Amino acid sequence: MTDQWLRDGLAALDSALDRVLDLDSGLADARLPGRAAALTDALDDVLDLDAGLNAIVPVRHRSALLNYAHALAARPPRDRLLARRWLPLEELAEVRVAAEVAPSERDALHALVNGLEQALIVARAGDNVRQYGQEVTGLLVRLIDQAIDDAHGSGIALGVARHLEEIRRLARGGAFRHAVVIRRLGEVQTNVLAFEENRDLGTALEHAASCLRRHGDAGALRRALESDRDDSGAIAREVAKAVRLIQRSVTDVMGADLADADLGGIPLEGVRWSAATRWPADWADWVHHNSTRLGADLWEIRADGLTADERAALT
Amino acid sequence: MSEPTTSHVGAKHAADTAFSDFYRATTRQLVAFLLLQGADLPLAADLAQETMTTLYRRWAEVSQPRAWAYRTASRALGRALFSSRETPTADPPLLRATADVEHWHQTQEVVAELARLPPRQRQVMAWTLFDHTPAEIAAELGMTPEAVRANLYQARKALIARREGDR
Repeated sequence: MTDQWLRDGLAALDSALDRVLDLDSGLADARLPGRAAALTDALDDVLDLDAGLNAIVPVRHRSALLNYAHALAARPPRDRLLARRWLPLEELAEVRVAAEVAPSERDALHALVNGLEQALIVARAGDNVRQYGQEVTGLLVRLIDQAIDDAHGSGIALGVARHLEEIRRLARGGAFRHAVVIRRLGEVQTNVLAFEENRDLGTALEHAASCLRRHGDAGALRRALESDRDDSGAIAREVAKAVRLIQRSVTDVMGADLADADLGGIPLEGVRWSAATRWPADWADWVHHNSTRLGADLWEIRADGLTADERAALT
Repeated sequence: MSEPTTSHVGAKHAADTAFSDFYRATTRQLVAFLLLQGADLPLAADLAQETMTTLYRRWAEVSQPRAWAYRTASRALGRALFSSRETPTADPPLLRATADVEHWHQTQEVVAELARLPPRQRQVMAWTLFDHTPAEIAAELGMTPEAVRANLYQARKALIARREGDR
């Protein structure tokens, strides 16, 4: 009986509430914050947050080295020239070479390294050769064929591809001189691994950073190099741009007033200047005597009469 | 040459990153907040960008950037609405050049609905919709919490009544 009374009471309460509650209005009110959120979302169609942000905050690059390069480029010419005292320019040039390797070339080089390893495994399986003869030879030749394709695609020195073609000829020969094939493949593999090491951006960045560690200078540059080393795969283009900017920044002193600069200990090879550049009084003669004219108002300092590019072509 | 120091470069980078994250998380809401209080889209975008630009310069000294941004933007809107501020002639960088402002406005019913409220009710409703409590709104607008609640109640009633009337 009590249960029935409760049930009747609840039904009456429900009915009474129906007369005083406006659920539709309550729902509309409860959904109002959602409509405000929808308004915020709709603003995506008319607002450009990237443009707004870039108008306030200087554009940041993913590469710490590129941010560093921009900061360096913004310094006065005298400061940039003096940076040549401690900048590891040769190591940075290696960073640039590694950074400018095209992704397709890098992939082909990696495939070449793996392919050579597989070919060596097959060639070293001497027992298999005696037992299976032609099959193993055929497999080895196919692996070397692929390695030749990868060598061409990787931009590696053509000599590697020619060596592989010679090895293929040996492998196809009636007398399967697998000892010679193994030795020659091993030599090619050593060269290719060295080539890959030289073009590994992370390695090049680490090498440049280690030069700075040895000299105890330039903490900000060293940290930028180390930061980019950890992300080198994704930011190679920015790293290449960074090194080009650094190289340009410490080379171009056209129109600069360097009259009060202390140039002692600064490697000046490759520095470019113009008629408007003012050199310290005790350096002016040496600079003029050791520079070659490149254009109407452009000179480059060269101690041995060669440009930096000409010297690089000889090595 | 003294190179850019580690502490300078590192601290600035961290501050820029923090500000950029805040900008992306807050700007749209700030524009919506201003729209609901009566700004048109170009003015709302202009005021929001102005607020964020000032905040960036003062980033190191502002401890509660969200509260600061809402307060500053709201006061700037008040000055703009009551001092016949000129409509921005140059497009604020925040507003897309291709934005069809008029069409966009027409599709935002909630802006039109709040625009029909008396100014104080609209103001209180806008602050509430962007997660401010009556106590916080009272402190920002120089009202008592009871007055805020009363305005909120009236605003809600008016909005419901209008929607029923429109049905």
